[in-house]
Amino acid sequence: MRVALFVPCYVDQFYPQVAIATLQVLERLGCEVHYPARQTCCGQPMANSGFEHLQHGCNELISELFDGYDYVVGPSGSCVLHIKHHLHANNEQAAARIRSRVHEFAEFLTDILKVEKIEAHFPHKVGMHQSCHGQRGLHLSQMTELVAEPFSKPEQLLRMVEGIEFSTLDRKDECCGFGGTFCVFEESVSAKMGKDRVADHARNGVEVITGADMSCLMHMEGILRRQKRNIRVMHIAEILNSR
Amino acid sequence: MSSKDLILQRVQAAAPKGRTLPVVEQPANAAAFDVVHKFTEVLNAIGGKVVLLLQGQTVAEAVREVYGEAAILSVSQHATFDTLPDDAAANPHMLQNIEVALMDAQFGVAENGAVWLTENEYKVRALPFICTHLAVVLKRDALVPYMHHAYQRVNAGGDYDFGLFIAGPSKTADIEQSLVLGAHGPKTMTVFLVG
Amino acid sequence: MSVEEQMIVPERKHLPTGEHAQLAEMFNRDEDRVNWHDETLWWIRQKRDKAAWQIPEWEWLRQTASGIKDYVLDNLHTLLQQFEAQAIANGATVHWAADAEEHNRIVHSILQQQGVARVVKSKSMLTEECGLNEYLHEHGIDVTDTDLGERIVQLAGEAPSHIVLPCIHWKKEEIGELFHKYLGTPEGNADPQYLTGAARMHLREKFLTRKVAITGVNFAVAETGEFVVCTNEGNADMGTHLADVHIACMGIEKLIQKREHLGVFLRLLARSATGQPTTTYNSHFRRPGPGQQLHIVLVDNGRSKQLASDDFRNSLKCIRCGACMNTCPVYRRSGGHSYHYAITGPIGAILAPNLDMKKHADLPFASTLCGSCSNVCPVEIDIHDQLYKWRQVLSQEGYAPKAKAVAMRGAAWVLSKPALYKLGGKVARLVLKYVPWLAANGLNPWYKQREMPAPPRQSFGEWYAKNHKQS
Repeated sequence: MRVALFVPCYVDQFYPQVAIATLQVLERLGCEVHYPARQTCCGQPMANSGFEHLQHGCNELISELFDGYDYVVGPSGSCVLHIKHHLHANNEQAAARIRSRVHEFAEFLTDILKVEKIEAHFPHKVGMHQSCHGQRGLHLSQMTELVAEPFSKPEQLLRMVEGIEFSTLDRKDECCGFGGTFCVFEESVSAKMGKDRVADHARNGVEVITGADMSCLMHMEGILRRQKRNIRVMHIAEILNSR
Repeated sequence: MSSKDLILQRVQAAAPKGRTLPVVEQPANAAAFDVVHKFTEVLNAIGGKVVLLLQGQTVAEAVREVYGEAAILSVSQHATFDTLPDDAAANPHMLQNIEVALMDAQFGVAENGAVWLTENEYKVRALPFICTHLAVVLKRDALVPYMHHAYQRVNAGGDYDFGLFIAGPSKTADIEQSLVLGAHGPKTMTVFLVG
Repeated sequence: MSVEEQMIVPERKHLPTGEHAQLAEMFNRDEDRVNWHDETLWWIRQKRDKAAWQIPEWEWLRQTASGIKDYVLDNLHTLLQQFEAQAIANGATVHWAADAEEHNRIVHSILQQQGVARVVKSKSMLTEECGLNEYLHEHGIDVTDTDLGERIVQLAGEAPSHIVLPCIHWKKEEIGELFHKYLGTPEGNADPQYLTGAARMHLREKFLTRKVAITGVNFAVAETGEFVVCTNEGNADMGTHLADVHIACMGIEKLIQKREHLGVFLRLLARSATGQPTTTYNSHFRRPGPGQQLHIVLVDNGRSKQLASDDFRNSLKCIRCGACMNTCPVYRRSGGHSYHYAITGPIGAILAPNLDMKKHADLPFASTLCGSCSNVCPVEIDIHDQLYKWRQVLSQEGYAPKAKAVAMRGAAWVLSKPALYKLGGKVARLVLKYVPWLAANGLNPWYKQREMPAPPRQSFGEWYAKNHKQS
């Protein structure tokens, strides 16, 4: 199957290892992965700030670059959700095709590739961060607000990794406070939310905070490093790619 | 144009979408339970008390046992104590020093420990609020499981000018979420289960 | 004159002005207090979860309540008229108020007719929305808020900070000081039981002496013309049943069609609000009491405008439970007053801009769009989607800060041009590596409490071009 790799802009520029891991895992699982090199951004930073009318440039690029593949896969719940809900372009048919074929990385593995086994080794205690857009938007995992059966696609995959241990958090799915431009326009609340998330992980003996969205992890990493804590962040793709 | 006409005009112009009413019936997956047991469990948990009459015990005896020497005003069909003054409905202020008020509920709701009463039965609206301790007589076979059934009974129970569900004593947690029983209404509420 | 009569209640301070971000920043200066506020409200969210999980059909209840309210909104024109006709036949007087001002005038005129200058009022967010207390105060009417939490903030000269838990931001020691000052309780006594007992005595005197009681309305039933008032304290009933006149104020969206629908809503309301199976009292007022007058004031105040909007109509389904506030991670860490509106938190943020876009343009941005609110809402309001949509409306209407608009246009331009984006990214990484202080300084809000990300040597795009041959 022909898969186009969508790389979130901040992953491309600041966390390339996440995209590399995503690529390698997909290829190892038998996908023919293409990387449209002219891609930039999904447009969410503008849209969530009230400027969705400015994202047509991004939309045009996406509809041009990502059409014609069996699937489009990206290591970000929030970007994928945004494309799924807000991609409209001059070529509306291409946009519609992409919207119906775009998947977040974990859900692609569980729902499309139906992965049951992963060759990976990661003997560490991890804390699962349930990024909000992926969880409540894409339903990557069940949210604690609903009276419904619990499940978690990212966790399901990580449990296939040898040696991994999960910590139980006090608040399983509270937002980390990144929120896009919220992180700077409402700095005090954003940082406080991040500090509280980090503290929850620290209290529960987490060595590595992981999740499906690098934006959340970037925000928590900023706090972890300012606090000089011995906890690191890694995207699930990196853990699934660990030998 | 009157405000009424203006508001109605605006509301009508707001393009209704013609959606239909959902079916409202008790879902099949609702939990089943013994209504007396559940009612007792819930009412106790929310600060009320349930008293089961002993074999051969009268309501009056059971009530006396709980309230000792306190003055009791009764509008219940099941027990006689002090009676309501004739003009109490017109002058409810005269009831402000009532210690214990005893009245009958039409039925109770197991899921939330509530009893339903109307002004038709207990005569003076203020009575279950102005007393210090509220006592209610409820027949065991007048317990329904859920609010869905409760409203079937309310609708079948005839007209009322004022009716209410009471679930336990008055309470508040407004001071740092500390639960205090006895806010402006009664400080205690006891249900006497008969039959 | 008794001690009670001598007590001068402070005038209500105006709601804070300023933007949510600034007010939240001030709130966050006392981190211990923020933790206390956050943990208290999270605990209430957990109580709600515990109550909901005891009901396997909980999600069905939410869907059904949502569907009932959808029907009400679609048929509001008919249902309002039906309600009015029934209520009038029941002996009530029905008034219609197009806006907050008119509502206040109507209430005042009823008081003037009665020759009354002192009233008791139970919790009504509608009256808060209309600024009734301030209006009546200006016209020489003494209003006693009888809900304990509301009485506390009234004595403090503040607005409530939560629609269900008015003084959630007050510690018991502070309440103790307040009661010592105004009710004569012993100094240093912070025992909730004792303080509540003092309030009981203090407010009982009001109930017994006031001739007019004002209440809100939780649900109004079109079919029968009755309405339901839900309290734990019994204060609405103590006020109304001892008064000569009952004035019930309600937003026009508070209608439901049939009495039996209460069987759905009364299962959801208290569980969503505080985790209780029900409020202590669910009082159904159908007709005036013996010798009593019953007035019902139906208020529009922007609701018909909201009703006309496909995007924002759903906000009118709100039953004012406060669950959205309890779950909102931003509300818990910024406090109700940072929303500078009578209705706070997520639901406030989608209601307020409808009334005043300029004043409340900041509110829809006081959110990470996490979506928790929409999923605790008992009537399934798509709150977080509406927050997103309000952002678009507000920016289009020109209420975005200029600097942000400029930055966004710049970002959009760069991101639409792959070569520029790649160059921009490379420059950013080089700056972070070689002149980090350009970003890592006090002017950069990110840097205040977080380190900048470590700049990698190459972007993924660069790595891919060098290391990976397309097959």
